[in-house]
Amino acid sequence: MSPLKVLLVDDEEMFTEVLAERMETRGLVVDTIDNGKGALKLAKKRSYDAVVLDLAMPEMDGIETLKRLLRNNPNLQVILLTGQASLEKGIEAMKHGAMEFMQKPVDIDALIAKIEVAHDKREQLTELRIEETLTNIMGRKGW
Amino acid sequence: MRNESTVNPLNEPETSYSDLQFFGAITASISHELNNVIGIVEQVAGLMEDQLIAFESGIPLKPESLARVADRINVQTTRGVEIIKRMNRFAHSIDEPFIDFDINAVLENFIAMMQRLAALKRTTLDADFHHEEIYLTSNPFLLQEVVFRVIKSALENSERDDHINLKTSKNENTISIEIQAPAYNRVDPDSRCVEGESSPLTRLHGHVACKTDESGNKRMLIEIPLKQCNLEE
Repeated sequence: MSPLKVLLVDDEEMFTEVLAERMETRGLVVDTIDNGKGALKLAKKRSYDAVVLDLAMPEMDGIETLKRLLRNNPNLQVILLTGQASLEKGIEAMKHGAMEFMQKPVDIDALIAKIEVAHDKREQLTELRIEETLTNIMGRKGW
Repeated sequence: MRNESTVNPLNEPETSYSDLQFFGAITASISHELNNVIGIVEQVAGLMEDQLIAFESGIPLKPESLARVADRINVQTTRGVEIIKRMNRFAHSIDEPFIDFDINAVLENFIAMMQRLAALKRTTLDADFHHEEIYLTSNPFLLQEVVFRVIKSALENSERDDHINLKTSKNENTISIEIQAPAYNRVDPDSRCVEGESSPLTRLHGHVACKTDESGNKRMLIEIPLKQCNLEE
């Protein structure tokens, strides 16, 4: 399996720096960014198995970033991280299509396990889309 | 002899639910920041564990890597200590209903605590204080609540790279707090954020006015009496 590719989005630079370092020693390929707009640009250019996204960020918060990420790429798997222990925020995140909602401080092994799940989910969705596309083509050709 | 600057009542100011909401908003912001500090320290501790595990399997430890770990812990510890000190000063501002205090010291502490909320709007927040101390006899908690409401209202219409500034000055019988914000030139400053029968400003017997300076910049001006209660004569 090729290395898991992750985008970490959090305005606490030291947090993403250290988390990225730990993920890289575990074989993941990691990009980091400290704001939602930057995350949207990166997610358009590169393909990620998962985006790990902080909820509270300046200008564009986690929920808004999540909505726009998924609008651009509905198959993208997004894991929201938050320091605010709020069930409401968790429900809101899941309603807007987040794959998972985790609370800080976060256990790295638990997070990586979720990223692996994200990878599998994305693969399944991609295969499904390919199948649907092929079925449509065959249908149009009358096969 | 009765001091004309003295304002009654002698009694404790009434409290309202909005006071609790204000306290909750500040402590929520502080706890969020502290949680970020702990989150970073936790990951740094995890990084040390990773390096120890690697060392046990034969990979040598790099001194520069350990130095970086120590530095990160120091930075976050200093940050955490500062946050807790400020929170402590804020918490103690409720100890007495009326005390003598230096408004500049109280607001300097409070504005530091508001930085996170300003940063969420990519706005900077600072203050011009006199170098001298300005003492008044009043309720520091309610005063901070007034300033909180004004700044929060200004932040609602803030844009990226805006700069909100506070200035204090002493008058004969009052203290003035002047707030300037670019948002006020986009949307008229709304003094209703501090007005009202049971608002903290009313309970401090203070006043608010919206003014325009010679350059056409709008600002909010708050005035509070120098003395909130009779001192023993």
